[in-house]
Amino acid sequence: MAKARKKTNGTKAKSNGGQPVRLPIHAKGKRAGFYRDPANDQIFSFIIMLTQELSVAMDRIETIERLLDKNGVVRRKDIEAYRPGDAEETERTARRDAYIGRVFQILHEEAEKLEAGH
Amino acid sequence: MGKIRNVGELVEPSHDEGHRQRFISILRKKVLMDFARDMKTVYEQKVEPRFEHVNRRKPRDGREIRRAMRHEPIYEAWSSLRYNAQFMTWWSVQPAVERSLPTLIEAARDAARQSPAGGSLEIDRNLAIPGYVTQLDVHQMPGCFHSEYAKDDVAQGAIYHYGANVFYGGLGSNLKPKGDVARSIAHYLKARFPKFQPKRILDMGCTAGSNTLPYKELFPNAEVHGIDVGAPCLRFGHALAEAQGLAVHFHQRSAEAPGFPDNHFDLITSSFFFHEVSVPATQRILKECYRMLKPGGAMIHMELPPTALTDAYQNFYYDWDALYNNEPHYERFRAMDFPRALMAAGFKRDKLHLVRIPNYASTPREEFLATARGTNTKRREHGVGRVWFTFGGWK
Repeated sequence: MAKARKKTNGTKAKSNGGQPVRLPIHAKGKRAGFYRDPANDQIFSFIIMLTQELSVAMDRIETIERLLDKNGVVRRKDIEAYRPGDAEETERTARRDAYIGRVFQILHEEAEKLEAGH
Repeated sequence: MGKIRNVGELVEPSHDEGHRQRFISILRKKVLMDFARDMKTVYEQKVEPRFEHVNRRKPRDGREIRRAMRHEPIYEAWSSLRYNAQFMTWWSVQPAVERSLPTLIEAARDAARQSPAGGSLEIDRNLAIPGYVTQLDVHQMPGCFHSEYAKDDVAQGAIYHYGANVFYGGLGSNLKPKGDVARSIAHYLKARFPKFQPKRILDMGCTAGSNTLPYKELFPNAEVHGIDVGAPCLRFGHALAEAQGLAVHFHQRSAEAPGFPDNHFDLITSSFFFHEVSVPATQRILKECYRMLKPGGAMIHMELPPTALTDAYQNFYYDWDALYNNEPHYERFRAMDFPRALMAAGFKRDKLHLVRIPNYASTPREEFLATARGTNTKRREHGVGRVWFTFGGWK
């Protein structure tokens, strides 16, 4: 998503003349809104996308740290080739889970207070 | 005969793309489990009591609950998270699919030319794609099941296939509908009707075949067919089947006019299909199923449970998709009178099949068998991954 991709909405096969295919990014149909002010829906989308990008950056940092621990040096191609093992993936998943929980903590707060009887 | 490359393993995300996908899987888990639980708490502890105080009764249905909930901050935020996570699922797989597309297309062409496992692929360039597929991108998947962007395109099949891994990736091993519906139905049939040996099976709306292929695995002597209107999904599904050594026949045909002879199939099935077509089309398709079914054959479709079988809160929760996931027929489909619709298609009242089948992969074997055989009295709740609602009948 970080890179700009051209919007295409074709439904028939096109000759792409050797050019890389760019898939459409917008789904056909009305865009839903959940807030009275549609600007809030946009802001919510920005926040979720940013939350995702920060999570990806944290994963990249973790990859670099692990490569440094292991090899003492880090090369870009090693980052690209890096695939966490199962145990490491479980750790990363727990970290992502807790991170999303912290970012959206307020969502949980109301339920928590209600359950505690205010 | 050359070896077929597996289209299910050819798409390799970059480091960051892979982690973008895993973020979405966990985000969806948080939304569908943790935050959904919080939203229900707010409903039960605050919104429902307030509704009862004003109206002197509980909400009658999901729509009333939605009206009471729609301006609750948790509903607004939960919906926003879920809605955005839907787009982000597809976006997270698109760049890698775009890069791999020439390789995927080549692998699918090889599969179509050679069909080493013995399956086949039939594409109908003149097929009129129904409006319920072309008017909206179902599941908010840009390009839907059918759009083509290159010659012999498989992109939308790949997006659907790889996107589903992201979609269900955070929900734990017990909650992966990919292939699990077909496995559950097949094992149910084997347990409940051990003498039923289907020779010819049809899966309708098969997309990329994830719930078609298990029928060939579990009934290896059967001739298995899958139909769908989306050519890119069928090409991908066929290539996937051939790479896995499964002979499955994929046809680009509409379930409304599938064109197979009368009395042709022993088993006709589908999964997550009917709610995506209009209710009038559902009636036409059920009639076609009855026509194509052999006497003694079974029709078993898996779907979301009907409104009548779930409580008002569950209906509010399920019908979110109808409103915000480009599945406009979903609510009307679930509201149908299922026995009546089946009898209108030709099935006799005493031959109807309306059965909750436990998910085979996540249910202890003993419990699965007891439930399938009708000797288990414990009831498991509806919901993805635990029990599948199935409807149909025997001819």
